[in-house]
Amino acid sequence: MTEKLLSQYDVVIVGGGVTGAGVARDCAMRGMSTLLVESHDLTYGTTGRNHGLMHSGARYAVTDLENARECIEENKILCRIARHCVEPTGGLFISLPEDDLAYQARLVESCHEAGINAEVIDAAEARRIEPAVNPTLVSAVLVPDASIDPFKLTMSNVLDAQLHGATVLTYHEVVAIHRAGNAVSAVTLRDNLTREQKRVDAGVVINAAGIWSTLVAKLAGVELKMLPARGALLLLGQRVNKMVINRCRKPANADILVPTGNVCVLGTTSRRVPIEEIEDMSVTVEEAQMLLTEGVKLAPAIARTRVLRAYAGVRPLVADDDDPTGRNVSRGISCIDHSERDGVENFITITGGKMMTYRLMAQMATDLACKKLRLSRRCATATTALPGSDSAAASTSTTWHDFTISKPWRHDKNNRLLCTCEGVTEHEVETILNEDDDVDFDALRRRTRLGMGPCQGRMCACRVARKMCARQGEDEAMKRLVNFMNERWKGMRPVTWSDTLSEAYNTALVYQDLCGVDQIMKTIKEKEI
Amino acid sequence: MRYDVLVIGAGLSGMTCAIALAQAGKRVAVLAPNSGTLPMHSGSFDLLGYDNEGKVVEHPFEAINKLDPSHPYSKIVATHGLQRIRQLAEQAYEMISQLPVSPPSHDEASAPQCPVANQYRLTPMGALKPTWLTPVHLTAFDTPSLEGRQFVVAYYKPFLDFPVEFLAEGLRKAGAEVQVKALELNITSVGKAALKAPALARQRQGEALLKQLDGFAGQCPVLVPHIFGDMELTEMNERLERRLSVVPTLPPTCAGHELSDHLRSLFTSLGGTLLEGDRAMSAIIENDRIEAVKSSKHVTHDLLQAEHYVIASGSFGVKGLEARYDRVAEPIFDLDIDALDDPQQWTTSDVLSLQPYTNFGVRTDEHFRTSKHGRTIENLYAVGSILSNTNSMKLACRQGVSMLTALQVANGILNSR
Repeated sequence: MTEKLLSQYDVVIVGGGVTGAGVARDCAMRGMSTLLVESHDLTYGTTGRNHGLMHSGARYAVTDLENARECIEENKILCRIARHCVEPTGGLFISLPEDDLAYQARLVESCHEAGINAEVIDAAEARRIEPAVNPTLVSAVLVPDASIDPFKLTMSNVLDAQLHGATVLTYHEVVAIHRAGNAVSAVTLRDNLTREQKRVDAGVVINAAGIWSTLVAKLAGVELKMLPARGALLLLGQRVNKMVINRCRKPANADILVPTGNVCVLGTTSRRVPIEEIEDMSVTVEEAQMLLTEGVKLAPAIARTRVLRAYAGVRPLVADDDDPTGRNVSRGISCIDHSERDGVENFITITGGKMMTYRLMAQMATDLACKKLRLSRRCATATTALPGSDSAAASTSTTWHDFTISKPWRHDKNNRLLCTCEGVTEHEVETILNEDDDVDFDALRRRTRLGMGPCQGRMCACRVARKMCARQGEDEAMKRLVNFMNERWKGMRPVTWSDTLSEAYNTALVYQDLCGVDQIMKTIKEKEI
Repeated sequence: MRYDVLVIGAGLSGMTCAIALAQAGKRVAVLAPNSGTLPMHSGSFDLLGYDNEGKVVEHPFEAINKLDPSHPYSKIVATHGLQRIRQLAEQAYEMISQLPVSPPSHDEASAPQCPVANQYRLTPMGALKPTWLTPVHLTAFDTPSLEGRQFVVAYYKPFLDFPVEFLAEGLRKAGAEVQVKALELNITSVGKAALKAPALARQRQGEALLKQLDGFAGQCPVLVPHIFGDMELTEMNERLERRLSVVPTLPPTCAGHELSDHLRSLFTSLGGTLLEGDRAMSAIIENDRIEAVKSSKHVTHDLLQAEHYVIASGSFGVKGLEARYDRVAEPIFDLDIDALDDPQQWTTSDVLSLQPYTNFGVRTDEHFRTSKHGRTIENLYAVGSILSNTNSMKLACRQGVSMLTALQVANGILNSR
């Protein structure tokens, strides 16, 4: 996305995840001139790398009541404003024979205190409403958990921000934050594709860069200690369960299974990583096997289900400012006014929190920005539906075929499928490519789910690469094709059992043995040297 | 019914073995749950295209001598000498020549004979890969340089799996002048699913193609996607002054589809029993011999019995090999496997570099006999891609390994007692 850039904005938001998108929407709706910048593609970071779970808050009820209250509030709001992103599956917290039933009692009690509907049901009823559940369960708690599509949610917020006049720049990185005295006054942006730099004046800069917030803060001369926690997840090739299944115990590894689209997601692990390792999204074989061993206890059918790939995301947890050791983590929302904390005016960091509470986070950051800019418009994001939420198709359908927000061509009967696994059409891919010259495979994937199904791109990759030839030239298209294959391969390598090697072998047969892509790449590389 | 030989798998290796045995008068049955990896077959037969260093091999019979001792070819050389490879290749060449695909030929002037030098097949994405044999309608060249040559490349727009952009670019990189033309065909299609090459060939669009060829400038060769049947191509080329040749599409390929059909017809015409849609499940093993095989359709009283058994069930792609949590296994007999223990070492990060798992396979002795728990199974042989250390992704030797090991084993069975 490259749009006409003004030389000055009321507010510049750094980070194109769901939080940044939400802030951009809120700011634009309140009449600020708004610029959203993202160094990679929208949803590149943790937004594109989580469970897709719409928490009811039950999971936090025992440990963090305030967090649970925020969750259920926002859960109800999202059910109204983002109907097209939410699949109201309901959720179960299951107690297995080895789990402590006293925890269940505490969970139910805490849920009620937080205002979350939580009803204990017996094992037979749980098996009836969710046939995939571990049949040895003792009992379960029924809660309003749901499945939410983070990609669609982010895109809808971005689209609405644009409809309200916001400018959105992807592949643009903030490389400098300039100060006039104590106040932030401008940023320097670098186009990560052309390496071109430009300076933009900013009334307020909002740092919504997730785990990368610490790096953005440093540009403004502010120290912000983050405690990155990496979580690994497995994508399973079938929709095993129809409801969200949680383990009813203190949060631990692999105790959530979320159905989403035609697949389901099992997770997660939690491991502290040094800040230098936040770009490393690889998953080890041990992590993958551990997830599966534990996950089978939620739904035994997982053992017979193909694992499509493993992926990881990094939670943007913030170190507690009051704790000098930096060991205590705040899991709640951190909306930091750096003028109060560090004496740097017009600079706000919004981080911590959950995907679930992105809207509330956006509201808090935008309120603060309004205060700084002396504006008095009230927040309307909780009551104004996102684009797509009101359309009949979106509200009645639960399939991926209504995935994106405004795609009438989905229903064009003459339109051929490029990606058969995920139902992505030729027209759709061409429209996105025409909108933006620099869209690569990964960006297409995030917008359409192309290549995310069982064959992991074997059949569609070449078809898409053909479409890139006219725009980027054959050699560049070939390189992008190989990059995409490598990206898919990265997620497959930790889960080499079951059908993964079978798919990988056939992909190698097609692209190497039959087509000679390895030979073509060799020639391209030799030419470059 | 007791057979002389039961062959497990109906890909290129299984069918080659079964046909050779049936031609020699043996009673042979083939378990044919699918066509192996034939749907991904280019049409050409690779014998040895690259050496261990990745260099192009011009004369495969000479280069075979330099392969690792663990390679299936090297086993044949070790027991029967390099000359045996030539004999097996000639036997393979004769079998291919019996199929209704027109006899492959390198040199149009003289009578067809078993080639000794590699040609260069044109791949769907425009690479020129060394290969041993290419059937007459498919596109292959004697040299990898196309300097001074001219081509018209035609494509059919609604067919997505013919990457004409890359194909034309590959030809240009090889030095050729290329014109790209769109074809108009009268294809009827249903639904939104992508068109497949074999289905297009059934719609017999040869006439529509011929009408358009006059409109293409000059008399230079015309390359079209392989979405026309062999019979039709023969007819068309008889009526044309200039040469029309096809380039493989992405899978499923016409060539693979037709080769599978031809091999099956030849086998059944020889009196062989094709057990279609039937999959081997397990076996009864006594005193290091296979006594009977259970299959999906022969489960209880009618188990499949034979004197000799040949496993040709392929590699990972068709699940002749399976990756489990902790090990790689051959699922029917649980045969001994050559593989690395640690799953972290099965793969490497660069998808195009050699992936160690692709060389995993069934362990065999010098006669391609398999073993279980370290003990040789006297009457079970393995052939084709299920064998370990074929390195066929990098050496371009897939069809050669399939046919030559299959014929070697067939000859061994025929010569036993």
